[in-house]
Amino acid sequence: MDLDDAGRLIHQPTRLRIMALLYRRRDLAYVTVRDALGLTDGNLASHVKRLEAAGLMESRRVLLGREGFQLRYRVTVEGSAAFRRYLRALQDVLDEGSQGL
Amino acid sequence: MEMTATQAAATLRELEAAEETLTARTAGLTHLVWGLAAPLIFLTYGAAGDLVARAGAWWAYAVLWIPGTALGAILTHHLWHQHAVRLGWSDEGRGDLRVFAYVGGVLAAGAILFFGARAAGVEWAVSTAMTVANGLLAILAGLLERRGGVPCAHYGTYAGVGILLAGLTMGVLGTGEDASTILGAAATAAGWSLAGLWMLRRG
Repeated sequence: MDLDDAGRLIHQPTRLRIMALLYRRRDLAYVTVRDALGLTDGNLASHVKRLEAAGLMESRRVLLGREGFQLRYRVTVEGSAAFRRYLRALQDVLDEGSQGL
Repeated sequence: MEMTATQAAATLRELEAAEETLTARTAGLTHLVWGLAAPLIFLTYGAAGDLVARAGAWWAYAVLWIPGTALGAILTHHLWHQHAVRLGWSDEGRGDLRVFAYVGGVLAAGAILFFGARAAGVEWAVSTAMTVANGLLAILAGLLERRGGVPCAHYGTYAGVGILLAGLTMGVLGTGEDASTILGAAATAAGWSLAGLWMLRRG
């Protein structure tokens, strides 16, 4: 697959699932992402750290009244664009593969 | 970990299933919330109706639905915000005419039922009219959920049809105010809750 730096970062099973979920939902609570993907706290945190460092997603704390703060994740504009490029590259490879059959 | 393009595509397909499960659970919980909030509206009218009538404060009838509806709306907003579920229109679907067609269709159906019954000389109890309105709103919610990509949204629509039929039956039978309050509360509690439980089971 012909991928740029962001695409290579996304092209890993867990990070791909995190980015796909955030790309579709835009903004999700940390707990929702963790539970939907069946990840441990440590596993999620390590992948989020790499995606955040690349500017593909961001996290923020939101005040929820008496319940205190909630950690939320959001895909960035750059992250959305990078994920769309990744999907196009993936589609190209799959199309080439199907034509070769 | 190296991943082929086929594996990546399979990962995305698996995620879609997981996401549907998440949305189905949220929708199920939302319907359970309204399984509590909707009968609360009927019970508020049932409990406060006599007091309002004795005090002659007829204007209060216009606001008694607010506590139950507010409770349902606040809990629903919180749940859907928590899970990033969207109703009807998304950023991409702004100005979607079908959503407005759904709302218009339900309002028109409500008006036809209400004025049709009056023209036929049928006097509905307030709770009977509320049950019919609740059924129409449940159908509308199901249609909007379907537009918003919520899986198993049809359960909500079926529940709405069930509530609507219960309301129309009460109207045809001409049930009195007290009986209509109890029947309306039971129909809405059962309709919304059963749809919620079906959705949770699917999730």
